[in-house]
Amino acid sequence: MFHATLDSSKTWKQIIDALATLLTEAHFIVSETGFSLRQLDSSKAAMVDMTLPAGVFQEYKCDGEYDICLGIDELAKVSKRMAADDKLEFNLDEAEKRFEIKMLGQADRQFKLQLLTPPDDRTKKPSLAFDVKAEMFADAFKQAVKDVGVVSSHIRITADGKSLTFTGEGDAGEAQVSLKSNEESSLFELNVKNKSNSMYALNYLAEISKAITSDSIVIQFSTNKPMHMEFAIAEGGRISFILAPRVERR
Amino acid sequence: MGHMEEYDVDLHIHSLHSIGVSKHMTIPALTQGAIEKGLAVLGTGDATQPDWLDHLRTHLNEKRGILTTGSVAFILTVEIEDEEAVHHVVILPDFESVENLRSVLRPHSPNLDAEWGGRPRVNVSGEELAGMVRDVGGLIGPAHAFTPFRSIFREGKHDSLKDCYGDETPNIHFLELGLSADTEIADCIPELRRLTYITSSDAHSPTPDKIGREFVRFLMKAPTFEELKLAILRKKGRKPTLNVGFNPRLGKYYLSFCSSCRRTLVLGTGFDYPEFDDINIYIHCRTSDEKMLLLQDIHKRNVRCPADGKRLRLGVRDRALMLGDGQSCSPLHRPPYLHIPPLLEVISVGLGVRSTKSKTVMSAYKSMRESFGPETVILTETPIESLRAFNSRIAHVIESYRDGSVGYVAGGGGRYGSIIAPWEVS
Repeated sequence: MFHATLDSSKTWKQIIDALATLLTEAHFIVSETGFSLRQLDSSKAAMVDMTLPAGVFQEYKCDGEYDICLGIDELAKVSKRMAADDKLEFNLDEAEKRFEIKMLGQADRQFKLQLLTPPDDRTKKPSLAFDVKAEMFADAFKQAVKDVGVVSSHIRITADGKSLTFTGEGDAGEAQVSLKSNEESSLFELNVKNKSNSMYALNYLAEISKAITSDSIVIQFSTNKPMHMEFAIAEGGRISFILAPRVERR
Repeated sequence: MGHMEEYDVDLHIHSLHSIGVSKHMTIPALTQGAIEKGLAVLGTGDATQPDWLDHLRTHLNEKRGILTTGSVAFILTVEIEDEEAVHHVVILPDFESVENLRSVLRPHSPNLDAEWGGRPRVNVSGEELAGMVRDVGGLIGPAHAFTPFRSIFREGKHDSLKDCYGDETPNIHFLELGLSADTEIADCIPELRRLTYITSSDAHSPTPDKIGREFVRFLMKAPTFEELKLAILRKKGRKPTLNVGFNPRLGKYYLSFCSSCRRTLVLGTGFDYPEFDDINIYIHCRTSDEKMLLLQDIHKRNVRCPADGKRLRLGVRDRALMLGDGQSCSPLHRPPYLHIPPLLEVISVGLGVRSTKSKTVMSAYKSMRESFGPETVILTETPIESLRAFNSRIAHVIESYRDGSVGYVAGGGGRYGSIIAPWEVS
């Protein structure tokens, strides 16, 4: 059996919104230690890796391990119905193949979502090596994405030994945001093995940014290679994304 | 009837009584267009539309089963849409069978007699329609079988011939490939390998870039329905000897695509990370199993575009790969498929003029046709030196086409593909 409760519907909604930017199905694995999800779609263009330890939840009981595979559109629609002060309760109905989500607030509401057949193989973590690793205040990253979004639908990230720069250009003009690596800066770690610059779709980053509730975020990338970004969620959980780069082939 | 001869045949065109067709699509204009393109036989198109039927009876002379005007022969054809919006090409023996077919279709069709009913809609299944056509002695097969719209194999419609034609499937003897498909693509699907493939223009205007842009060369004794039927069935020595058509890369729906930003999907082999640029998404598959899984996921709308997050859709090539067994295998009876680029486009690329309708391009086209003959001859046979004397850049493009070094920007997502000038190929 599986049963869990979560006091904050906001946290849950942020997680689902972040997953919905990249996935069409969410394949959770629930076990005694908590929720996890690691998915790389067959295009391998975007990966999500998430862990929500049992401690994130106020009540958590799970004997054994279960695959809970749900359509992301349905999950997002249900999550939209959650009120800000609702408490959430999750149960698994194995016999009926349903995932129950209860919203306990001014009314007690219950949704039962049909489970989908989980994929045959579980995604292995791809071994990626990156030339740049940067840790910064999440807010600085969010602002940079918003700034560049004013003029462009893509964001170019450039790193040398001293700074991390976000740039964009479009019909309206250009934008540039630089973060210097020093003590007062919001960029508090910058490791650069090789100078790198790479471009990514801004709309993905904007969507993912909305889900960032942690104080800090770690991004890793190399020139014209995927970007990996990771941040903490829900006190004790972690979520990471891998995004395909935009290149200029012609 | 005499000896076997080769006839260049374009079976699928529309008259001025179909929606979206030039008002110049009349028998005299079609005849002129056919002569200019070097075609011997045209399908009449729209044969069940009453005004067009009168026009055909007035303009075509019948002698020993051959319908002609001047040097061009016509075969009675019509494209019909069934209740599932699947289009079929129907070929009919004579005017009597056209009337018989009209009688059986009338109770099921809201627009058979309408002014714009050239491509009638009939509220029966593909199987029932095939039965009706068989009863009146005609032939039927899927039209533009792989395009993403109104075709038998479009996504969400049929996965096999049998699924569409049911018990009538053994009576289906041909399939029209459509502009985004060729023999190699269709022969990915085992159940299609017994069929004769038709390449035809589906022309909506008599201009040289439309009429005869695809055609079939049949070996037969005369340009009659009976001879054509033998050729399609490949009996008594009659047979198709050549399919001529676009390189499918030039078609609008060749590659899979993002339904929103229209970036097209380029599949690579080996291991590399996915990436995208302004017009393409690049995804690499290490094995054919990996590729099939990806195509199935695209089919299930489970793959998002890495550029904008909208879902990808299958193009003609990938849909055929997914429906089939993953590899193309042509049967021995299959004639060669000659990929021809439209001469107008070759000229516009050669001259560096963007529009194929510009005066410069049209006048060069006219001079070349007058000097050297039909398009296929210019593209495949005219000595390069003669072409070079006319225009060295156009000759250079034709030379690169002939030696296979011509480059293509593949089409997809509604964007036609194009040829790359040889001096721009990196």
